[in-house]
Amino acid sequence: MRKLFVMLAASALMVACGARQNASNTPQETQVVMSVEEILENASELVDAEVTVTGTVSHVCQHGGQRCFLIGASDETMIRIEAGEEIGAFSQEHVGDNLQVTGVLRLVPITEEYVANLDSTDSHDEHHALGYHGSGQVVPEAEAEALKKEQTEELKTQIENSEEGYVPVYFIEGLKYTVVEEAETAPEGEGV
Amino acid sequence: MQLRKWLRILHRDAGYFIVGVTVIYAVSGIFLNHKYDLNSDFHVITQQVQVDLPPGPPFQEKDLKPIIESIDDNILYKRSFMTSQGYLKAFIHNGEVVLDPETGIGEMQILRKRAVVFEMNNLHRISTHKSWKWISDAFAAVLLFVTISGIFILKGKNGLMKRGIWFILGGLIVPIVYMIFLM
Repeated sequence: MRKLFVMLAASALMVACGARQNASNTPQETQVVMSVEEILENASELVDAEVTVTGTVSHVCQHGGQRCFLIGASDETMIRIEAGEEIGAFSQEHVGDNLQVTGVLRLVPITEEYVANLDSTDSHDEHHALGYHGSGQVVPEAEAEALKKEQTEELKTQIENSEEGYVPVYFIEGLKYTVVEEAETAPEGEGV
Repeated sequence: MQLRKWLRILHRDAGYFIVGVTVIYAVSGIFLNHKYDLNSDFHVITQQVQVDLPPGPPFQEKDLKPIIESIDDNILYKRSFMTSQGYLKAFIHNGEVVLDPETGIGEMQILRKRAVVFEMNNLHRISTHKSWKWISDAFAAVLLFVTISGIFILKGKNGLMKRGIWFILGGLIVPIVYMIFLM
């Protein structure tokens, strides 16, 4: 019995070590790396295509790390990254790091029906599509509900004025990611 | 007779084998069921803070680093930016500090992993290495065997067709009601 246990433990360790080594040996491919701004500017032409984006992690979903938000030069340019099966989850430790993420760009058409459902649901997934519930935007709790209402009204107006009948919201289904640099302070003279 | 004997032996040993994984999945299952009621992975520590900021914005990162790190000995500063709402947001290791740039008053949020539960949740969600998916499938198959074999181990008044069937039906009623009427 004891021998069986030792053999089982040794096999599990070997499999774990082998898997870790394989993961670290994955060859790097040459990719066109875009900023969050570039992705969003060209998003309509890149839907369903594999893209690579780099940006700062402004928020990682605290309920399992299934998604994170990358911002560009400011938090006005932001894209949601879904970890999916390939990545599994993002670590909270990446908040504030610059990540390079490769994945497939997807479109969520925000229609009037979508917004109507949003009003009547507490589904975090649906709210996340619009960046609510921890998008990295900093809003005092007291103002959060009012701001959400304001954003929803603005969204409804945008939908009414749109030719397609929807407002496009883009996100990336993540396939892999790397930390492109350790968090470091900006060069002297560059202010925030 | 011989079959029942082997069933009992296999049920016993397979049952011992999956004790650990069953506990992991049961405990983490409860935490993950309530992931929106409480943060199942982290303790979120929120603290009001006040610092003396230099005039700004804009702020220099080299000035902000020592100011933010002076809030607490354990803080490791990463970077900062001004949010579109006009707050200064500083990323720190495992958290963030959000400050009013005029008053220096704000809030610090630090996340601390729930010891052991965090790791168990990661296994449950297969947020660990992808190979865990196949390993957990194997454990699930063993659990299924333990469950099915358990039905046939006893005979007589406590066997399946006397006492067991009623408990099995009792355990099925609740999920069936939910599947039919509450979905």
